[in-house]
Amino acid sequence: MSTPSLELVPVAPTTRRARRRRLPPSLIAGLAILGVIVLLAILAPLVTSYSPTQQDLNDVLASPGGRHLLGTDELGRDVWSRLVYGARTDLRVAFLAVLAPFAIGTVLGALAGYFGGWLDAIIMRVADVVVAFPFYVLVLLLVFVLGPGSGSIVIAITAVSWVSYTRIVRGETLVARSQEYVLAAKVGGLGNLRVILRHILPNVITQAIVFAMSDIVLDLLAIVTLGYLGLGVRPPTPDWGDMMASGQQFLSTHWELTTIPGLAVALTGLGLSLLGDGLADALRPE
Amino acid sequence: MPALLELNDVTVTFRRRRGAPELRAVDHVSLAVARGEILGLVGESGSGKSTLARLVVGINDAAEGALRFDGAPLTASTRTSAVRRRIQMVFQDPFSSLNPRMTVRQHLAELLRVHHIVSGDQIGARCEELMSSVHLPQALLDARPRNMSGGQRQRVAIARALALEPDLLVADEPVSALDVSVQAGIISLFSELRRNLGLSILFIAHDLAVVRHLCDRVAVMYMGRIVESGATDEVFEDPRHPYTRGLLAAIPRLRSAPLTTDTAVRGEAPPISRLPSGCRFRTRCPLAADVCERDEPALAGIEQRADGSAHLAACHFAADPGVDRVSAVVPA
Amino acid sequence: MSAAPAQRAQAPLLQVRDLTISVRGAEGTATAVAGVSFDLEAGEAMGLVGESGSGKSLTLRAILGLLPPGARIVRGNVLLDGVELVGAGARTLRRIRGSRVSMVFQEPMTALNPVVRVGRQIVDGAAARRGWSRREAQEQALRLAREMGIADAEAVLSLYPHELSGGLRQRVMIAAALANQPRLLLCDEPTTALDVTIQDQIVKLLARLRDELSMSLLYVTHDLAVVAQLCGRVQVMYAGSILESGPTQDVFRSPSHPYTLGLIEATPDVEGDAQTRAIPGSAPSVFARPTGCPFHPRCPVATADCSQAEVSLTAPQGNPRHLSACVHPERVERPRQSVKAS
Repeated sequence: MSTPSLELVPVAPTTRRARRRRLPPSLIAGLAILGVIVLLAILAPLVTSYSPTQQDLNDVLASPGGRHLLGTDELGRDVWSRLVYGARTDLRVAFLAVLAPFAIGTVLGALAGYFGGWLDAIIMRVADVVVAFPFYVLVLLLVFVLGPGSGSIVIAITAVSWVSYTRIVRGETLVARSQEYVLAAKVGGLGNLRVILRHILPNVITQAIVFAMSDIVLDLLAIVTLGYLGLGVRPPTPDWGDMMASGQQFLSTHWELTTIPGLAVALTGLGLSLLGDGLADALRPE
Repeated sequence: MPALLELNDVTVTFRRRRGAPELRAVDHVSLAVARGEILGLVGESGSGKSTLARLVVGINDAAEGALRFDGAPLTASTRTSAVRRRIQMVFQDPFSSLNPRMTVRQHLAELLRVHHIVSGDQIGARCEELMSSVHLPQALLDARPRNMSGGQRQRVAIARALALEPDLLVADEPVSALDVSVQAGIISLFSELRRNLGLSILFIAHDLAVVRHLCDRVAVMYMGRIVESGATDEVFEDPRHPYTRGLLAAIPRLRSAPLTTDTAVRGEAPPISRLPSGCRFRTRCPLAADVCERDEPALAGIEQRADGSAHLAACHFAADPGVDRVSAVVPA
Repeated sequence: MSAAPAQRAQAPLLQVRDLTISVRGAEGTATAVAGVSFDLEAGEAMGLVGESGSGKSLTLRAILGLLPPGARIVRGNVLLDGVELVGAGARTLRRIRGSRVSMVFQEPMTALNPVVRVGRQIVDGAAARRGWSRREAQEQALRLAREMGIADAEAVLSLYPHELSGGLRQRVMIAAALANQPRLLLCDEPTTALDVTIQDQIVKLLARLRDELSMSLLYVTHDLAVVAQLCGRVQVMYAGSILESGPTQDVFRSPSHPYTLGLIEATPDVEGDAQTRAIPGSAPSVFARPTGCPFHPRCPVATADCSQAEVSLTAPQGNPRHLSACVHPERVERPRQSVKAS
């Protein structure tokens, strides 16, 4: 009875089937909601009939229905149009405000976790200082100093948010660094850069991505809040926060001017949260 | 011909915490691996065998002592990429030693590419050759670790080590995490690779039974020191150190009921921070005498065999014919 | 090594009948344990041997109702002294756990509470049940620790689990399991993670307890040699089914199933010349269980009807206590005799 060392049993077909797992429902719902909003934002010129900045002082505070789908604001601007273009603005800024800290934080976290020593110490102490300040205090301060505008907002949020990503990625890197496949790569003569890029980052980045999903909701709220406080995107560029602020004075008569952008924020936030949850579930290792 | 790998009186230290005293995981160890030889290094937890393995592949550094590889000194600075290629490692845990996000092909191709082992268009063919050499079906080249069994993953790890065409393979307990029905296949694979490629292997295990048929020579470690070494059949037939005898006696036998309820080795190894004076095994040794407390026995030769390989043991009573070694068993 | 013949006249301590457990995973639901049946007498030690995925651990845990989430008993009976445990209420289970039946796990670090000193952990359960005073509890803990061969017991009992070696932790866990003098000790690979010299100590300790306390042992492991040392009878499991069962030395000297033979030949023999041999292929995943005899895809002597036949135990060698599920037991070779190296 000879026993070849050949593996006679091939990879079981069920294992291949297992990889096409059903996506979690929260992921699908999140994608659906967000998909609609993003699509509208992209197709803004096609789905709106008026420019968001065009004023029509003959037709201020019109009620929804008729020529203007959602009515007009106090300067006669089409509300629906401002809503859709506002989505463009706010989503774009939110995306940038998440991407920059994600990128910077991931790099710093990976370096700190991988090399340790004084590099780690410096990065983490700076992070400790930044995180000692409440988020809004620092962001408001920075925007104030830099002047309002989307550029300042992105810079301000980045300067504060990178810390979370750094900590998350550093923690995951510390774990990954002692895994045997990383040791094997080093024994195989791969340089540090390649080890970090090829072996560490792909395995640590999922946690950062999941965090980014919840972070983007908070950033969106921050942007809208800044807009509400008059420190946001500069008018006349449409922005949900600004719409809510200016509509506030008409709350008793034309409550829709404030409520509609508010609902838009809530809905977008919901979509992003569901997407984040769904992604966390989907990316979780079996 | 000089040995391929030589360790001369090497010591590897570590500290549990900053400011804690320095402890020796590997304590003045000398050993050599000849070309084409399979040397077994056996020890239990805390023996320092894994630390020694990592020293050889360059993960740890020696605090004292010298390493030589192929006749030249092996230090952090002389361990160039070209030298690294020639000493490769297979790890114990087949799951964590492979990147879960990479396919088998990616694991192999990455090394082939970075070290320019073959030209770009040859990489595919070389990957297939490597798979054949470890007896894995080509279809698994595009599989990821989670879709493979432990035995298959371990073969991939071996293929990855072979990709760089090393002269010396350090295998750190490569079968300990595998089912017993799969272990034999991996062990015979190592034997085959030595036969076909002239590979030298430093094979680390916690169990003497595993090394019996694979290794030409075996060294037994206890608390950072080598306590016995020699040709495998000689160490198995005529173990001269009480610890080696205890290790052999402790292995459960399949075909016979236990002869005695007495344990093979009593007690446990003391923590490394409280090293016994003299011989470090004396706290558990049935032969312990006053001399054992005073003097640490050196690893000394007992007899020379015809082929020149030495049987060494670090025990004051190793060469003493008067000691009744066979029945020196300890009450439970 | 097993119970005195007189005790066999009584009903067995543990009776497992047609135990079937299903598990749920990403790929759906599957049967992990398929109709397992066996008896265990009082004071008897029995080994439940199998490799990863055989279902041996699940079988053990099902006895105490400790199945992991997603696993459930689909059918079958587990009778302890005649009391049905499958589907038993929480109160019944609580009453027998720790007092009639106790369990020892593979990794003591996870089975012991890291923030409680080990002395307390040994007696907590028993003290609560028996209303011991604090001093009584301490005395009992000390006594048990000494019984387990823990040197310097008083000092050790005041330590935390992470301050102990693996062997000591295992002894502590066994002491805790015995605090209430159970009649049955379930062991889930308790020595797999230990060094061989420590494993030897623990196995011999369990043998002593088995004899001195007339305690039954159900010992789950993948190591046949340990079963040979400790257990009078053995059940060999593969992919959820028992493929062979009988007195240990009978089964190991003259196996009636190719899988048992394969395991025997794969086990390193430290005394003889025999080279170990692997079993080709790998154990099937729970979700891909072969039809008929689950071992047939890897079996060197399988025939066409092996993929159709039902798994049922017969006595191919005429001994009613040595059973095999092999369709063609006559095709099983004898293990190569190991020749003691001269």
